[in-house]
Formats: sequence, C-alpha cells, structure tokens
Amino acid sequence: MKSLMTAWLAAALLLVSQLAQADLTIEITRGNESATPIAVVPFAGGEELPEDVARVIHDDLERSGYFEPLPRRQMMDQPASADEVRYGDWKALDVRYLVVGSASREGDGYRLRFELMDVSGEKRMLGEVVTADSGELRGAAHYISDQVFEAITDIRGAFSTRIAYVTSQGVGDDMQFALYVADADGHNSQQVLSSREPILSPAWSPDGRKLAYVSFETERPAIYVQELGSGQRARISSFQGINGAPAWSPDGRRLAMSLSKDGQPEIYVMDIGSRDLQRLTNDSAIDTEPSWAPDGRSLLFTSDRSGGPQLYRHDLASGEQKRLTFTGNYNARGRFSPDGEALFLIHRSSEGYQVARQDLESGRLVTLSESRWDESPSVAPNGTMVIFATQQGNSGVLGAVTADGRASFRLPSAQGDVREPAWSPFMN
Amino acid sequence: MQRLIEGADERVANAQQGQQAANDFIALVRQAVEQSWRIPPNVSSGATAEISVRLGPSGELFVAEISSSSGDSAFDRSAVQAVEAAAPFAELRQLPAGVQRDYRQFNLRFRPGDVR
Amino acid sequence: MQFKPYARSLAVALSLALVAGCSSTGGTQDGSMDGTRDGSGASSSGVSDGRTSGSGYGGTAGASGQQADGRIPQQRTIYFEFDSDRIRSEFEPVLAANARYLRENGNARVVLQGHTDERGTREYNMALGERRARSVEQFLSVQGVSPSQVEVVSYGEERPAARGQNEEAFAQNRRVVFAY
Repeated sequence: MKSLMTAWLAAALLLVSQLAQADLTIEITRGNESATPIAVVPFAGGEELPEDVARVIHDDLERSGYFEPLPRRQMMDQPASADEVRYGDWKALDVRYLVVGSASREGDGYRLRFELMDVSGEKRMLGEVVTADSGELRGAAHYISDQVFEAITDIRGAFSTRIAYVTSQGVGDDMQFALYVADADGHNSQQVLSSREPILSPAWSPDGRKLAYVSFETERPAIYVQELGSGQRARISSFQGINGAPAWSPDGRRLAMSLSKDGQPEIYVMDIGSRDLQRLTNDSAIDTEPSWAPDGRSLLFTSDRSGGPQLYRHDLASGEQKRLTFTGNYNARGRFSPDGEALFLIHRSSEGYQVARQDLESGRLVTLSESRWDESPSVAPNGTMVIFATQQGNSGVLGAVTADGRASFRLPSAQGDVREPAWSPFMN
Repeated sequence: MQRLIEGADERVANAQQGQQAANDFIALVRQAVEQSWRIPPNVSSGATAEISVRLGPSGELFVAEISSSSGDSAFDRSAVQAVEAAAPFAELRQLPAGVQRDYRQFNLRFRPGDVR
Repeated sequence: MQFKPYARSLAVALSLALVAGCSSTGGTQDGSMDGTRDGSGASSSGVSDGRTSGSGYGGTAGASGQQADGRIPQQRTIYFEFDSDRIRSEFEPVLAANARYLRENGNARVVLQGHTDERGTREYNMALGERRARSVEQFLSVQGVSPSQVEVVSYGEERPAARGQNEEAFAQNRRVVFAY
C-alpha cells in the first residue's frame, strides 16, 4: 500500500514537472493585415534641393502596399544619422523602421547619404552614399527606395522602373490618341506617339529599350516596334485583317501576335530578325492576347473555342494546348507572374469585369479589385503589384493593387482617358 | 504517511495554481504578440515561421531569432518584429518563483489562419 | 395628314419597347420599313435597346434607303445585341439597300467598320468587332455583291459613338458602319 501511494505521488510529481519543462510552442494565428509603419525623415539639407527626396521615398514605399509611412507632422524629432536616433521616441509611435539621411549639392549634381534603422530591434541595418547627376535626383531617391525595400523584404524593389500607357480624347470620328512612357510613379512622362487613329497594346521589350504596339495610323491596324532612345521604328506586321496583341519572348527575339489574315484571329510567333512566321493555332474560334511564360517554353492566350473567352496554355515543344481557366464564362488577357506560379487576368462575374489572380497549381481564382470595369492588367517585374485600367466616374484611370488584393490605389489621372498600362521590366 | 499525503496534496495544489498562472502568461504573450504583428502583403498560404524567444528575469527580451524560416523574408522579419514590439513581458514576475525560469524560453509559431 | 398614322404607330412602338424591356428577343418583326421603330428586340442580358434617335436611324416616312440611283444609302449603320454577331432582321432592309447600291455601282468600294461596346478586354473586342463586320460581309456576298468592293476593318472598342457605362451607350457602340 505504502509503496503504491509513493509510486502514485512520484508519478504525479514527475508529470507536473515534465509539463513545466516541455519545449513550449505558442501558436500565433492572427495579426494585423496592415502595412508596416515606417518613418522617412526629411533629409538634412534637403530643403535646398529641387526635389523633396524623402517625400519621393515616402510615396514610393506607401505605393508598394508594404509600408505605412508616418506623416511628417507626427515626427517629434528629425535625426539625420543613426547616432542621432533615439529609438524610444520612435517606438512610442509604433514605428518599426526609420530612414534618415542628408543631401547636398556636389558640382552639377547631388550627394545623398541615407541610413535604414530597425527600430524594434534597435539596430542600424543599412547605409549608403548615393551620387546623382543634375536631373537625376528623383532617380536617386527611387534607388534609395529600392535599397530600403529590398533590405526589409528581400524582394527586389521596382521603384526605378517605368510604365507605358495610352491616352485618348474625344468620341466617334473625332478622337486624339497618344502613347506615353513615364516613371513608375507617373512622373517624367514623355510622348512616344500621337495620332488621330487608335493606338493600343503597348508592350516593353525585355531589355526595356523598345516598345511594340498596335497603331491604326494607316487606317488599318499594324504592329510597330519603336526604339525609345532614338525614336526609330519599324512596321513589323501589316497583314490583311487584324494585326494585334504583340508580346515579346523573354529572349527578346520573337513577338507573339494575333493575326486574322487566314480567316479568323490566330496566334502566330514571328522571328523579329527574319520576319518568319510560325502559326500556333488553327481553329474557327478567336485566338488572341498571347503572352509568354517567364521560362519562354509556353504561351498563354485567350480563346473562345469553348463558347466564351478562356485562357489556354500552348507548350512550344509539344504543341499541346491546355485550357487553364474554368471559373465563370469569361476569362481573358492573361499574364504570368514573374515566378511563373500565378496568372493575372480579367475575369467577368456578376460583379463586373475585374482583375483576378489564379494560382496555377491549385486552379483557385480570386478577384483582386473592387471596381467593375477593369482591363489590361500588367504585373510589376518583382511580382508584388498589378497595374490596370479602370473607370472612375466617366474617365478611364489607372489603378494598382497588391498581388494578393489587399491594398489598392488609384493613380492620379491626366486629362482625357488613360488606359493600356504596361509595366516595364527592371531597368539595368 | 498522512503527512506524506498532505504534503503531496499541497504540492499538487501548488502545481495547479502554477499551471493556471502559466496559462495566463501564455495567453498574455499570445495576445500581445498578435496585437503587434503587422502581416506583410503577398504572403503565400501556409507560410509558417518559428521564432525562438529568450527572456531576461524581468521579462525583457534577450533573444528573438528565426529558428524556422517561412521562406519569405518579409514574413520572417515581421514575426521577429512582432515579438520585439510586444516585449517586455513584465508579467513573468507574477508567475510563482519556481516556475518563472521555465517560461523564460519558448517558441512562437506564426501561421496566419486562412489568409485569402 | 400622312404623319398621324406613323406618329401613332411610333408611340405604340415606343411603349411596346418600354414594356417589353427585359424580355428576350420575341422575334415579332414584321419587316416594317419604318427605321425609327426598334420593336422588342431586347438583348438577352435583359436590356431594352431603347433608342429612338441614335445615329444611323432617321427613317422618314416612306423612303428609308430605297434609292435606286447612284446615291449612297442614307442608313449606313446597323446595331447588334450584346456578345452577338447575328444580323438582326430589323436591319435586313438597311443591308439590302447597301447591297443594292454596291451591285448597281461596280466602282463603289466600302469599308465595313466593326465596333463593340467597351466591356471586356481590348484585343478580344477587336476580334469581336471583326466578327460582326464579317457577318455583314457574308450577307452582302449572298446578296450578290462582289468581294472586291468590300473590305473589313475592326476598331473594337476604340472608336465609341457614345460614352458612358450604361446600356444606352453600350447599345449605340455595338455596330457595323458602312464607310464609303
């Protein structure tokens, strides 16, 4: 009896002590789906410069959807370097990261110095001196945004990239169209082409130096390739019927396109050097809007062979064509994410025409935007964001949304309608 | 033997009180970390990061480091920051003395439930 | 007065159109030459093509495009239902008049301009506009028009006749235009 009691006690005590010493793991399953607070302090000496560098960085980081920059009026303190930072002040504001810096003129150009601090960890993460030529101050600020973004997320920043877009004014037979390129934040726009005839489907070459586009300037649609630096251009395709939807192969040597010269719109691939054409589809349906997979081995395209537009994938080696979209009866204008794991497209439902994302492995489709009249999704080269055209009131404007649909923005609009945005590759 | 049993009851009763206090502490840590956690966008579903935490005797943060990465740097970093921002865990001192030491080291597994 | 009966039938037609608004196509066309009547040709998306003075309509009493001489027909636009390239029977007289003109004027050339409303993606709409224009081209060919006189160009959604995100504007944009 006694030994049994002892044994029981011993066992109980052992159990309790084991519970106390077990490798404890606490599950955290909820948080705030909101951007990380960051403060970009105005650069010391920055008031002398023609551009507010800290403001450019602030806006870049905010527009990425990853950061919530602190408004300047809430900054009690404006340190210019790491050793001037009192972490407690910033922790009290729940700021997680801090960017500080200084700026000065140097010759004809500028010299910027910046540092990035991890506030909760109380440590300096990064610091660099950046020099810029005259006229390149915004570019230097975008470079700093790229460094900050990459240091925190390990994703390459896309703040030094560009966008192309089309504008239109008027209605019916009296319209004016123009093709522009601009910085990714909409600044520094330059006109590439102006016309009384429609312009559409601008597409960046992989080296970021050329644009392919469709122009009706001869009163028929034709595909042109224009070199942005020199303005020189070549008319690449002007067959009878539709010449549309040019898409560059990842190696920059071929253009996929939609041509209806043989009866109805089919997908062709043209070798730009030789102008040789390879036909990929042959059916009585509409086949259009081709785009290349990042590995160059397959092409996505829109086809209504099943009755309404859906996305299909053409494998270049085997010639096999496989349908990819099965949700709803309208899925078109597909684009691969840079990692090849998802598609961004226009999906129609009772909610309207919306930008959506489909995971390639699971086939699951999610709408990303909340607007009703979306078109032309274009993915950032780092895959974090999608820019697209939509309606606001009676005007065409550009919108942007994070790749998971969590944060969205409207881009400030120019006069007339803005549409057909195309996000450039990384500019090297 | 009667004294042995009484002694045992007292130890079990203490252990029960200790367990209750420990549960409270765990709940507090979870709540504080969840409130401080800013989940970055574009997190893939199923992303999981484990952070190994060591506290000082007053609940101050000695170490918070990634013991198992999610593969997503932004996600990992957000988890570490959540712990850093939630610390210090002064309530550690409210645990029974004999038990405090046991709660100065633990893991946190960050795995958002049903991200879209 | 010659206008009264037409005015009354116009009023009746208008009220019929309003009442029949959301029904699908009933096919009650009687081949009337009155170009201002749009009957109950509502599209299956539940919208009445309630239009009484859109461009291309302008039927006056009597002669609605039946010129038998060298003058280009007055009515040169036909309209389509949503997502469709089907020639609606109420526009067959317009097509017939243009076909007659082309047959009788062998040197005349026409460009059939196909258009869509703005919903959906641009390049796919370019293809839909071409389908509509080809559908008209086919009709003309059956009516004996020489293929050398006809060319097809699609503008997709790029040249809208009317702006706005509403059914009235959309309906005015889904068209093929005879451009001489």
